[in-house]
Amino acid sequence: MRCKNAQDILISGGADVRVTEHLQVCPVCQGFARDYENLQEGWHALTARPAPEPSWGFAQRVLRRLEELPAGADAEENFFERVGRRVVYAASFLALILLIALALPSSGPLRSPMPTELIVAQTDRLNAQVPVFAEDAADSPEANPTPIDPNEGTNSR
Amino acid sequence: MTNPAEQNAEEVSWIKRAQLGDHDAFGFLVERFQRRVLALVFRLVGHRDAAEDLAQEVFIKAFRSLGSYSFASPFGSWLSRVTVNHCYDFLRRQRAVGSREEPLVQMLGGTEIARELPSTREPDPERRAVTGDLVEKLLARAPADDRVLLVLKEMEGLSVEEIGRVLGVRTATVKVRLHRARKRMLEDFHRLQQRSS
Repeated sequence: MRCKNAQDILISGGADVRVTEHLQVCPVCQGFARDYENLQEGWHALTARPAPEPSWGFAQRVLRRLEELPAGADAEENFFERVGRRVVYAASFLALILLIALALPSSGPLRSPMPTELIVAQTDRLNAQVPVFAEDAADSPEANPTPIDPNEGTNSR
Repeated sequence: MTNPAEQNAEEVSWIKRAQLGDHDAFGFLVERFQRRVLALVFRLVGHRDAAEDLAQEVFIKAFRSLGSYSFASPFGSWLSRVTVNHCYDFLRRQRAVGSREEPLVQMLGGTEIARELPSTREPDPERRAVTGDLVEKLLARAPADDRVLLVLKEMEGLSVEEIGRVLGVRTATVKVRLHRARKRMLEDFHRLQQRSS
């Protein structure tokens, strides 16, 4: 057993066979155990000391102090406590929403940058003036090629 | 003499009346719990002079937050929680003032106390008293968190579960913090003993 383990067990107030065996051969941990026992003895001594008694009229003084409190002090305190709690709830809610928005970049305000290929394709399309909307497509020359006059080039007259 | 059930019913009646703002009913509660609260305050803060003032503040705070008491736990436990929280705030304020940052040996007035500590293991009242003084001084120097935990565990005899309930933290957290607090205290104690030898 390592000294650290033995000392941790001793501090936790427990000791098993392994700790006892370790203590028999380790002077460092023997000193540690002695200090721990001394400290425990100090705690017992301190606990056994009598606590001070309340002075005569203690309860009356408490009541007097209660009566001296400004009227409405409790209400004011409660009001700020309530308002403060609401502000904390609202801030937490907003923080949560922000976190969700940041965690979902594809659907949130911060989208991932557009892939280069897509940008290039879009630019090419714009340059080629390919119509984007169906209405534009209907008006465009590609969609409505000039009908070929079957008589063109012939002199029927 | 009232039996515990009657006593409890009486206490419940005082609490309910006090919750409605009845100062006299609260006065009965103060009478009943003043010794317990004062003893706990004294152990937590260590100053006899400050203890009574703080105990009064605890009762005032308790009266003002009595509306939040729902009878889920005994009134004494609830009051202990109020006491610990109030003393904890006091200790932190004291700490912020910075009066406890002196080196260990300087704070104890050299190594005199450590030298006084006999090294024999025989039960000796004088030795116990000196060790008690030493622990009291080490406790005064300890951080507020350590002090509260150590007092509740070593002096008040609360279990880690009870400490968790009083402080509003998980049992596992109490165990970890208590372990660290004991270790720090023991290191200081050991350092003092080494200086004396």
